[in-house]
Amino acid sequence: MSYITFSNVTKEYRSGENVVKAADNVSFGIEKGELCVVLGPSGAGKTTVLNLLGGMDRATSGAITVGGRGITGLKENELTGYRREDVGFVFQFYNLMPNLTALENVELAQQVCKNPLKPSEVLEQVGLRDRMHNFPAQLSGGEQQRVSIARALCKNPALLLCDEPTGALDSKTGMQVLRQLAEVSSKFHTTVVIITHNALIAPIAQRVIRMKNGRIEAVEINADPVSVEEITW
Amino acid sequence: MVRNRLLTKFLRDILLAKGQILSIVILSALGVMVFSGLDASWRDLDASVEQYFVEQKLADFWIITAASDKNMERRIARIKGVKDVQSRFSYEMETTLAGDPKLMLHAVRDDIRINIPRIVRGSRLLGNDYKGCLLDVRFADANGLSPGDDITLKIGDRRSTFTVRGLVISPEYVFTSKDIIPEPKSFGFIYTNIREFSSMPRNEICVLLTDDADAAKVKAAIEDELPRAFVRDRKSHNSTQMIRNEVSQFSSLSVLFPIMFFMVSALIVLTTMTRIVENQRTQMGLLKALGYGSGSIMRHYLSFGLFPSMLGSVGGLVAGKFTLPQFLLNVMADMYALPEIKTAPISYAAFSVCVLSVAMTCIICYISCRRNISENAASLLRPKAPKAGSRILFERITVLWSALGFSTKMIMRNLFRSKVRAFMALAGVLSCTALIITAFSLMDTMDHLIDSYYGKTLLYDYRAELDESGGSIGKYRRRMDAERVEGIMEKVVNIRKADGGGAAGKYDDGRVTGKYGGGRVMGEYGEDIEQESRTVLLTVFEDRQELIFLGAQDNGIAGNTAIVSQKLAEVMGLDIGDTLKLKLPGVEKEEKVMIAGLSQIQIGQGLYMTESAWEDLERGAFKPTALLVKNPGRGCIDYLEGLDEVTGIKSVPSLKEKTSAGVEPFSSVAFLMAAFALSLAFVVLYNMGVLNFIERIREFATLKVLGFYQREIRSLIVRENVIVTLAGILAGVYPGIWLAGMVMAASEPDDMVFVSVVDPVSIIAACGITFAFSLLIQRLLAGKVRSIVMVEALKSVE
Repeated sequence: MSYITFSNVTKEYRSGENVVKAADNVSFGIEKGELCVVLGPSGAGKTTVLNLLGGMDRATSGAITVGGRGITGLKENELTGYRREDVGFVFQFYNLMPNLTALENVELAQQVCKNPLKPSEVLEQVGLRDRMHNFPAQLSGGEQQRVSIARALCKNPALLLCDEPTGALDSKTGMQVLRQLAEVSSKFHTTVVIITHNALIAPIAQRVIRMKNGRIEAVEINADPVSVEEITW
Repeated sequence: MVRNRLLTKFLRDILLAKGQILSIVILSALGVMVFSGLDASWRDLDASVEQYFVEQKLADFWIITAASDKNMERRIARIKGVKDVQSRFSYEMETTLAGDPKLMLHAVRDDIRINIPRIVRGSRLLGNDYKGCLLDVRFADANGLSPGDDITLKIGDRRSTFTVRGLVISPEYVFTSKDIIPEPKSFGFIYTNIREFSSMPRNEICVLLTDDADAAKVKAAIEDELPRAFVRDRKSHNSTQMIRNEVSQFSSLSVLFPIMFFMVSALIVLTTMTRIVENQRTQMGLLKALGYGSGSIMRHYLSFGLFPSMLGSVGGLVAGKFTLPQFLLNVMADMYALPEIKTAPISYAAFSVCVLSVAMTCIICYISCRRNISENAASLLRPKAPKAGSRILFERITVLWSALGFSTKMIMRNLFRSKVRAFMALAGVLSCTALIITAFSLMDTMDHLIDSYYGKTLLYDYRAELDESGGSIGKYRRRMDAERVEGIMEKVVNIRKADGGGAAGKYDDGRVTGKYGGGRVMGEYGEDIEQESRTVLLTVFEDRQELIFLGAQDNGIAGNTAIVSQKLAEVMGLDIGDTLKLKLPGVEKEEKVMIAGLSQIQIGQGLYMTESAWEDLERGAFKPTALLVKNPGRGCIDYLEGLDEVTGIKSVPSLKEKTSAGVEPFSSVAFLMAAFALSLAFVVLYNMGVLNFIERIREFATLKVLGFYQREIRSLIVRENVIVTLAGILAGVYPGIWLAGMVMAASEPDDMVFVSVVDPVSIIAACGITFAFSLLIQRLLAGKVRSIVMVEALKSVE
């Protein structure tokens, strides 16, 4: 069995009479340590899949397992524990606490998990040694996103979920961020799931899941992913 | 037809921001309600009382003489400005009812034309009805009498029985008490025909003036006409003065409190409005981009302030007008016998305050809109950069800062990031604490006043009243077995400040700074005009008296000296060394006495003199009108009760108890104040809490995604608000004590000294209540954490 499995997962949103299927009978698997890209145009259901995987939302039907543990049946508190211990998030708009410095933002994540890495070291790794004591507003977008990655990494998560991590960045800084994510996957053997509408990113992934209209269109295994330097957009 | 979509937007926006809109409504309502309520209370009371006085023909002067005759009446009636004169026989009498209650009797020939009682139950008293009487309705109720019953009065050995025709209230008995608190069971008043007392002198003349009469001139004319008589005007008439004091207390409070409420609600409306407008920034840009003019955009956003504040202010205006007066006048009903209070139309003042409140909100709204509207559409459409975090001063103290946990650091930084909001919440808690402290201090001050008067000023245990047949003090002292017995002689006198002399200069420059300083007295009467006289109680005590603690440095033993109570001195602009002119009843010539000291006495302001000083005046021997007894032995009180000349015995502890019970209504006023303070605090704290929550919902959602448990996020919010609350409470203590002093000063009547007292227990209780209340609100707010949708965190910044 794969590290992550989605079996016949459906997510419906109801508003009055209307039922919108944001995810329609979705099934796939992702292996441990893989760098996986979920690709699709807006409205394809990518974010829904990420929300379900990250324990931020509940599926209407179907089963999701992570590392053999079913997360569909978890209680609210258990879900929080799952996010706390197992999942790292990188958001499109960074979502840093504006009144904490870069280091403090990372420490914020560190203080709630059991086996954290050292925040200052993680920040060094993402190349922010000199900006550690700056507030988010004093950092560029790329730097903020790297702080956000550091915040996710410092928890030493088994699973790193990234929602359009390059969406708000120019291509140069976006590539820096991608390089960071690719490194995490190869170095720490962390499973990284990147959600994007940007097809140009797909070549760096070992697995590409293409979605459209809430369904899986195709799952491609890329035996020989290219390095981040070779792609461009 | 083209529908106004801007209106649709307005209505939907209001629904969306219903919490904030509602808080503007409530705050506007509270501020206006407190004003309109207190304002209406005193206006209704004032108007009703004045109308009552006019309709029932309350006397302008009560002249006390040895005996009046037709000739005397005629002489007074001739004075310009006098409308009517009626003499009567007035005397305090015992009744044969259980407990020997007393009645003040007023016996009149023919119909009563001045001080006409108003019938509450039963019928009128006809001029030729010699056996009928009109009885004080409260006295009747307390003693179980109804129209048709008989009542018997005692004068010495004589008994006179009357049939109660009607139960009445009287304009000259709005406040009926020989002490501080009315006791209808033991003291009241009665009106009868004079026929039954034809052998008695008519010792009182009531005088009614025309509307345009100059009271001071008429008074002087009467004094000239009847030099031995004693003229008492409305200012010296206890009942009239009490109710007028009450009106002026209300009117000064009706200014003081609303200012406090207004300031707080203005601040809160300001933040709320600013926030609503800020949130609409992009939409404002959009409207501009669509081609709406600045004017119509401004009108649209002004509606956010205008309609809620209008709704609240008008609601408060009406609610205050129709609830508070009823409540407050009900509380007063125990103290004052008044006719039904008529509701006057809403006053201009209340209406103006209502308009002011709406205008204030609109101005605030305008100011916050103007800033945004003046920007161009493109820049409005760009989201405003989020407020940056920054280091706070406290972080410089690295040792302390690094010792703090994360959440504390976040809280501290957040507080400083949104200074305005934190400050508003602080101001809300501060004023709530201050108002509750003031409310409690009202009760503390009353308790303290009673304790210090009965415990520290009156040092005797019993006081026995003697009538004219009483003997010398030596006679009683020999026969009474008590730790100490003293006699005092009380006389009602008129006093005024002697003009000219060395004292005038001192008074001129020295007293201006005083609260009742020379300014008022000087301005009103000028330097050359003789000051109007005041009727006060003169107490003459034995040279070495110990049973009344006057708190004065000197008893004024030397000849022609007296002590004046401090409040009286303030009111009249007197000081040590000044000379007073003293007019005794039945004596033509005025005496001159020098003020030797000021007494700290708190209740019952008057003049004090020693026996020797009195005898130096050569106006008769010192003959006690009351005996003061400390620690009586067995049989002592029995002995006094057996004496014919003793007309009543009062024990100080029981007086104290009755007075304490009498000020009980104050607690409901205090309760009302506390309730208002708490509602203010509720709106402020809840509103600020919600704003804090809404603004940071993204942060909280992120924390949730990062795996923070709900209770961790909740504690983050709660702790922040608790810090603000605690700071607000601490900051509110001193303003509370200050406000209590202001309120006490504003409500102090002329014959009492209120020393504003705030018991530490009250401070602790006020702080505790505010804190508990804030925690309650925190619980409400914390419930919102559950509703945070994590997906929010992933959405783009809008």
